[in-house]
Amino acid sequence: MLSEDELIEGCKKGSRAVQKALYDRYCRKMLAVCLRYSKTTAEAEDIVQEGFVKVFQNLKDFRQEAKLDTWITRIMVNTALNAQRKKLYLYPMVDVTEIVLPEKEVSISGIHFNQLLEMIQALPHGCQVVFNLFAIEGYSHKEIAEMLGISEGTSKSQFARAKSLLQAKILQESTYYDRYGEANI
Amino acid sequence: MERRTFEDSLKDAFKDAEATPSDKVWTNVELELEKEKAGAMRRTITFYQMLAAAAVTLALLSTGVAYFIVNNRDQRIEQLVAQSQLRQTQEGNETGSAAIATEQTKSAEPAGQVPASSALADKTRAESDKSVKKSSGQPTGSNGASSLAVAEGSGPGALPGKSVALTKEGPLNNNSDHQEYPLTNTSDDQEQSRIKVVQVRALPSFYTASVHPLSFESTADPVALMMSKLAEQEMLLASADDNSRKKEATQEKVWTALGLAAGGFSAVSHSTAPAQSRGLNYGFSSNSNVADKQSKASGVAYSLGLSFGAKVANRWVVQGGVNYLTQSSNYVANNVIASPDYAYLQAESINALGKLPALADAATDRLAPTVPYSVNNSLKYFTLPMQAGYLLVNRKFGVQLNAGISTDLFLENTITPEGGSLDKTTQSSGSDSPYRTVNFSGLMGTEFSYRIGQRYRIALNPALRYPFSSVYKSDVGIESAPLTFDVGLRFRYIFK
Repeated sequence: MLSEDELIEGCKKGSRAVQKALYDRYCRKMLAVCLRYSKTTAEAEDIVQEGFVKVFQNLKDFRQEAKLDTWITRIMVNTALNAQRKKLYLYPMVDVTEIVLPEKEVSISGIHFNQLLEMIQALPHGCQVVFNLFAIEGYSHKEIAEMLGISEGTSKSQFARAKSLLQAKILQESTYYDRYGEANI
Repeated sequence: MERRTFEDSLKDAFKDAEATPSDKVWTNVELELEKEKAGAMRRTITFYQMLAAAAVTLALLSTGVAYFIVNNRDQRIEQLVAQSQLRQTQEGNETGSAAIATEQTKSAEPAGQVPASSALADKTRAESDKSVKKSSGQPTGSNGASSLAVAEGSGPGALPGKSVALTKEGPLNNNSDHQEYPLTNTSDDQEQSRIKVVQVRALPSFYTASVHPLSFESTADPVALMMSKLAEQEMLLASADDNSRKKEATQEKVWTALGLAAGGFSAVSHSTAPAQSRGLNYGFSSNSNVADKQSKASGVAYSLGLSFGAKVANRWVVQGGVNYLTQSSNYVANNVIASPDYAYLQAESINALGKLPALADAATDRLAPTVPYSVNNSLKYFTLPMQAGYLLVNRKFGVQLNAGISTDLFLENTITPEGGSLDKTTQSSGSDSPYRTVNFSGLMGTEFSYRIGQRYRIALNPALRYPFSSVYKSDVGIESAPLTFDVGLRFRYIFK
């Protein structure tokens, strides 16, 4: 198995075999990232494809200040954001005032990964992007506002709305689970 | 136990999440990388084309400048020689008139009195003879240096002012080569004579020697005589050698050459119009843009051939030959063409689309969309070039400008889809072919050559080729005339 340094050097030399090895190592993780920013698997695969092309094109500039998978993830997120920008233009994000949060803290234990993914994909475009960037990627609202060209307040309200919608869905799923058991969900 | 927030638990849930993408993702990534690589190669070819064009331009400019300098220098030398001869003629005339004047002065002077100027001249001649005798054992003398003897006139019959006698020695330090320039006694004349003497001294001996033919007296030194004869023979031999070399250089009358060339081509003139169906159907449906992609794709060109040449005038040559030319390019297709039962699939190409049923709808039905794939399009021609050439430089190193036409006979077109899942197809010439069977191209180029020995010459030929009409038949509705630039290497064998 090739080390990270060997992968980088091989790709810099343009070796197709090493490029394939790098792709094989990271493609599954990157598809999971892209799925969170997409509505369908096909859309996520398009982002993965475009992202890996960018990775191979720009690997010569990678200075190894971060881990390789972190750097690739960042490229995938940026590619996903570029893909989403057109949709965000069509469905602009606005401040949401009426948000109803559940009274008790919602737990995701017992919720399958695929169910969680479907719930995130079902979120409105703006909410989905802001939620991913804040809750999972760990960007601040200020950074998100700069990245998406929105106000910090909009970012916060979109996140709150996404969280509210998700929690409602999770509660609903948990109720079904409690009531009917895993086999019927 | 620390209470975990909703966001943290979600983050953990997705931390090591994985999902397997389909195989087509890597295929598409690879295809994109290949396209990028091809683009880089095209840029490299373009760069080398520009570099070659710059090199040719520079070479032509250098040749022009060098020709101008050499020509100008020859003219300058001729002018200097002419000026020198003119001066010598004038000098001879003045010397004659001065000698006559001296004779007249002698006859006017009383007997027994020796004129100062004449005495001085005799004295100078005597000293000069002595010096010649002293140096008689040496083959060369003072190499044309002139000596100037000046004496103040003080005798009874002496003329006022200075009396000057100029003694000029030839290149072989021969007594007979002495020339005296007795000057008149006026100060103005003396000054003018000094100027003339300085002018004569300023000229190299090479130019002045020709006006002093060698003549040997019986008292001449035998060694000097022998050396001068040897020098004369050497000059004759050198002249004969030079003539034979010039003759040899112009002896290249008939030759043959084996050559190969490589370069690139680009569809500089291109258009895709709706088909005007007469015999064939080239109804390119809206689902397929392969006609556009295939006809305007740039690529590489190779040729191999045998040529013959003959010199028809001093600087004009005619050359012709036979060549095998291949033009290869890649394009990306998004469809495959399927047989009615979808049992046989072939790559999307102008050839294949042309053979689909006449109805456009049917054609559309048989186009099956697929993931993008790369297709290699290779065209093969048998060409008969005929060119006229002008020799700018015709020496050991030669520079030649060529222009002419080529008759291009289409041999076949091969469509090779990459990946191996689709079959390779070949289209030869004929009524069902979209390609013109015979086409004509304009040729233009230069040739830099170097002669090796008596029988061989190696040449480098940057050249341009441009078809006068589209490579596709007019029925097809596609106009494509690719401009080809290649650099050839030719090995020439000279028959005589």
